[in-house]
Amino acid sequence: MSTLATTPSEALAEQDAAERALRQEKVRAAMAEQGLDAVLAYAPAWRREYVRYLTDTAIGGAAAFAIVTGDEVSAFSTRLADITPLRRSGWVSRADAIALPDAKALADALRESGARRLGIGHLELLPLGFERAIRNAVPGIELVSATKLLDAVRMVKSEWELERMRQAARVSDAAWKMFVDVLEPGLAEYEIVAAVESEIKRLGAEDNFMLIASGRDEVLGMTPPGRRRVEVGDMVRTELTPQTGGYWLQICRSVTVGPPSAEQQRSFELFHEAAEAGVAAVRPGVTAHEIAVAENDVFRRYGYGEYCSDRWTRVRGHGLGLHLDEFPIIEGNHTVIPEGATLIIHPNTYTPIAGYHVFGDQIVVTADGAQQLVQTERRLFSSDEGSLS
Amino acid sequence: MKRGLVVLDHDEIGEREWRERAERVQAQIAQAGVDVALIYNDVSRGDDIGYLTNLVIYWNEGVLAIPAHGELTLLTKLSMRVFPWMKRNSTLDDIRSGRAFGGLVAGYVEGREPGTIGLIDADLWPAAIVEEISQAVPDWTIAPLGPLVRDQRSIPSPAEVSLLRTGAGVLREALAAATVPGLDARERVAALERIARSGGFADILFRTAQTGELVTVDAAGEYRHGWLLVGRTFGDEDRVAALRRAQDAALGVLRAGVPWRDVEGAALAALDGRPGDAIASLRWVSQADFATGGELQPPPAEGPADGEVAALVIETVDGAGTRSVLTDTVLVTPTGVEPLTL
Repeated sequence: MSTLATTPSEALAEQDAAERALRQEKVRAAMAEQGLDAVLAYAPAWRREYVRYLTDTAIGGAAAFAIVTGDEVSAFSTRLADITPLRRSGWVSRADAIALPDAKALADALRESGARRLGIGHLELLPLGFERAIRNAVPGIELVSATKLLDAVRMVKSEWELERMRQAARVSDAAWKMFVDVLEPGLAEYEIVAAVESEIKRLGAEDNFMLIASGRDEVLGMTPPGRRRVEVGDMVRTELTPQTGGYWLQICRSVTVGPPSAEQQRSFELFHEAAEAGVAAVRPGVTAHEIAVAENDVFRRYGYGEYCSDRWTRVRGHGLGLHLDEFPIIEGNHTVIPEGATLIIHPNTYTPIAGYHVFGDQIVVTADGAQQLVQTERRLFSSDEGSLS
Repeated sequence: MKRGLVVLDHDEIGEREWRERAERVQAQIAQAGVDVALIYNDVSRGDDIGYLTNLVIYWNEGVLAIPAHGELTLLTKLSMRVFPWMKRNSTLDDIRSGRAFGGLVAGYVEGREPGTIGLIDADLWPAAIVEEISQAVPDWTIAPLGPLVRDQRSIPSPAEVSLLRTGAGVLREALAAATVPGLDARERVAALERIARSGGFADILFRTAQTGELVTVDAAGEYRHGWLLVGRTFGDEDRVAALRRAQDAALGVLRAGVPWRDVEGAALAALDGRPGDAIASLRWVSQADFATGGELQPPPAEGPADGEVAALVIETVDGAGTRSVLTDTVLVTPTGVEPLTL
């Protein structure tokens, strides 16, 4: 077996090159501020956002890394099939395959960088095997977490990123449309998911995160699909999150099978009002806490405040971008949300009115408030009547 | 991310088999002098916990506590509101929720005489979580353990083989639809998704690549907790024919116990005539490692065992970096193989 010849990078379009330069500049500025010699982004298979940010490449490997030094960015993956796309991306100076126990190419790059104080994005998830390989490569190296650093760098989305997200939003809109179109009594939950998955992949989605629940007021939350077949009178809830061009774009809606009951309609009105209150609270500099309070106050006003606790719900929304679950929108989280951040506001929870209800949309924070990214109407849908508000 | 069918069906895997799986691990850890073994899994690599409990880690992470004797316990950061679903779809009765694994483990061992906690597949544990647990239970010894559960999973039981055959049938149908001439890469994946998920697959992981007319599709499908791996190349008949010759040659010599170098030699000899390929490689991935493509494990030192289910991955990369692939999953027998995805 011979070695893989150097694969020429594809020339980047001007706006892509500018985005690459912007990202590297932001990371290097943060590195300097924190006294780091280099930043190593780690990507386990379920948290690839940092490596994606630095490479703009869809990685498939079980483990991947990207290292930012003072003058270059290099990438490494455990999957051979990732190497050519990385090299062709035009975003990295080099890309090589690695394997445990020594992760040789990564170890060599760290040695060559001369880094003594290394910030690692997702250090909290770095497996013992890779940590050992890094420490063996550079004895005495200081490893510190760069997770918050990379989260902070990524929080404000550039116009380049927002354009990607608007494209992704079109897939989310189409996914919801397919969800409603396919829904009919007798269909199993997993069959609904199959139809939606097929459609979004046809439209170019790379991945998807999706939860579902069908039934009436006994439904406490959403999960992966089961064999249950939907029935007239059900409400089917879903959180649909296709990933397109690297960006996760979430939409939360509930749809009744047949006409909505009075309780389902009342439940929708409560959740709609709470979501609207959350959106109305958004402005540059708002905290996650303030948005959550705005949503929860609506529930409290109608006597459903207890259903805003973690006994019944997880979050009242969350940041999204290259990862699907970034900063949580919950009371007590005082994270400041700047203009250009993207998040979903969804007051999803259980109430005894009609069981678990989901409703919400992803927005971008603008200078004077919020702009919705998806175009799907904010109303209660019905499987056989199109939509009812 | 998991979003396909999740089901616990005792007609497929009987209660006795679930019990025996746990008991085999418990016997091993007791023999190793370990009081409690812990498994760390995440949403991308959840098969050990799935194998022992049928629980699907569909979100983030989970830790399964296996005492040398007694009931298994899940430690999770998910809130209690999803416990009813978890209990309905797993063999677990004891599920505990908390904000951090250190505190959860401390709570779990509270009241027990301090001893040894073993970490199954220790090298794959996040170092930070190991440190957090060590600090939370300072009176306990933390000891690394090998891949006890993966080793057990590498030879599926008759019930698991039956499920794999069912899943393989669905996947063959999906592949047939995905390999219709004239489809683009997205349409091929869409066909795979529709048929596989409608057929009950819990997950389909795929990657496509396109260089000019050449399209590759790599897919890993999970049916219940068994995995099937396939890879296909479209758009260059010469390349596809060469890969097929290499696969035929490898499968021609493959049987339980055959030295690995014999299989590799047969496959690579069949690819020798291809000009311009910089890399030609053959990998053997155990079904136990399909979730990670076998990338976090060393290559197998010995030939396959009787009853092992594995994927034969044949890849070439030309000088310009363009990759071709042919992957199929087979069941190894003493006299050859039973192709599952072919």
